[in-house]
Amino acid sequence: MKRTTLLNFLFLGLVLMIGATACKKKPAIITHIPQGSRVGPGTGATSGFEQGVSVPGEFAPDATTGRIPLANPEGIDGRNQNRSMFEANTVYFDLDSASVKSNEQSKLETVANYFKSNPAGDLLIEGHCDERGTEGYNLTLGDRRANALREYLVNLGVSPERIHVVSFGEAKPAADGADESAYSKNRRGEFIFIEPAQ
Amino acid sequence: MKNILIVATFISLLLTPFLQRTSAQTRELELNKYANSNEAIPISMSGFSGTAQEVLKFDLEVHGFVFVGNDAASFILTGNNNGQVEGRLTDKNKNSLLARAYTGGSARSQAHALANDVILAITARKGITQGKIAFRLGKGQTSEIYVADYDGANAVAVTQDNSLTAAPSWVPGERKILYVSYKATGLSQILAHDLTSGTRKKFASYGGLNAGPAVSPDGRRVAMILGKSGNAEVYVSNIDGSNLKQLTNSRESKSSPCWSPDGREICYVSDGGRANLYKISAEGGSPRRLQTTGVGGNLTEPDWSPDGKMITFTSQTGKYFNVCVVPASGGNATVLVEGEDSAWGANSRTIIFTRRKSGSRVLSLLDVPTKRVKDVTRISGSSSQPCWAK
Repeated sequence: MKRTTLLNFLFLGLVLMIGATACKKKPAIITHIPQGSRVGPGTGATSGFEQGVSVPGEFAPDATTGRIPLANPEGIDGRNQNRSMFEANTVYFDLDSASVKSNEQSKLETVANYFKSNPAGDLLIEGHCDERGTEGYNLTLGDRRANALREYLVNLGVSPERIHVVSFGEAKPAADGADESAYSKNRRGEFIFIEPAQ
Repeated sequence: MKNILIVATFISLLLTPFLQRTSAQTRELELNKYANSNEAIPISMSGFSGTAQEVLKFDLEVHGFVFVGNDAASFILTGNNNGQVEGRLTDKNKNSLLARAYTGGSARSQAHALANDVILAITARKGITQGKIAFRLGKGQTSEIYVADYDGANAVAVTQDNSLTAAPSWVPGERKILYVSYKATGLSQILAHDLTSGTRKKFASYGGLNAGPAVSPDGRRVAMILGKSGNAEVYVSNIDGSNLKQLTNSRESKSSPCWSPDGREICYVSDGGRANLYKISAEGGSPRRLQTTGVGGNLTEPDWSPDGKMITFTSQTGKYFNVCVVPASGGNATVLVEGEDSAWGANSRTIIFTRRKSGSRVLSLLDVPTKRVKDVTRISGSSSQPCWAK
């Protein structure tokens, strides 16, 4: 009886030591598992495995809305925002729409590929509108656009917690003017690279 | 003969109260006529000059008065502002309704006080001539929050962030406003700003949208739009930001919550392809669509009248925006004037709203019964998102 207790004690000590060592060394790369996707074998998996289980968590899509929750934005405080890196990938939208048009999809693939192959740095998506809407309405429309782009990137395999969104409504037009040529440039989603903390 | 005189005197003494009442009743009828009238109120004014005259003219026109000559006037306002503002108001039959002198403050504030008394005497409803507003003043791609008198005088910049700042909401009974700022991180945050000390603190800074703060009429709770779930939803918290509760959860995007005056319900916009108005209990539950028969387009930016009877909102079709009203219980909606983002004054009669004017925006005041509109011209620059001090 006494021996068992002693053995247990020694074993516990060993576990604690290993744990402490593991905690000290922060893994360089955290593999993010996009929530809602299946964890388990992909295509061509060895037969005999069952379909993997989904892991509900902080970033699981809401059961009613299907939308993916956003991370607390505090993590990007004070980090440099690089606006030029994805400048060529600005996505444009139709009037009063937050649907990603098929001719804009390649831009999203470029952005997604960057984040999938580069674990450092995060993404901020800005949603913008033209001036044809009330200011309150456009703020929400810009938010819908930013989230539509975010969800598209998540579906392409980018971790949701790396993507932050902000809507400016109609307050920051890319082009001045009250005609369609200006409006079409203003209905957009811009990608801003959040550089890793120094 | 003596007897006849005595009898006549006796009869006239008996009749006097009746005669007086009849005269008072006539006056009452004349006043009642304008208490709930859609007609402009004809008034003549003389004796005032400078700021006092300008203020009286603006205040009375905003409240549905029209200036006419003595012959056509139902009411006659005379007075002066030699030293202090003095005013005398009579009806057209020379019955005195008001005779008052004002001391203290500026000629401007004395004139506002006289105007309020004139409005109360004739329409039996307090005016909003001493009301204050907060609004957004745009400058290129930035905007700041300002507070001013309701006519745009005494405008003061509350923020000088050189950043985007928007959507002010006044905390009732306090010198404090909530608004949306992008200053700290480039992302949206709701800040609480104490106007007396000038200090401000973070109220909400969740992931995604932090928008549309609306303080409850009792000043204890805040309704707002948060996007942290990945969708813009209505939330309510305590005035200190604690006890956050999500009220809505559906695929549609929500915006612009406002409170019923009893604090029990919240009206907001839900957009699932076309934006419509909904009401939900401030405690949560099932949302109910607000019927707005007769008005089409995207319906946004509701505001509940302080008397609880009406909700004003904006209908948008293409590039056209209209300020509308509908009974708070739903029903037939009415288009009032071209404009957007309307907010009821404390009198439940005056609405302040935004008008687009040659690439810029200007605040305007609407007298709902008469549909008369006056621009707040004392503010230069593109101004929008007006809210009343409560």
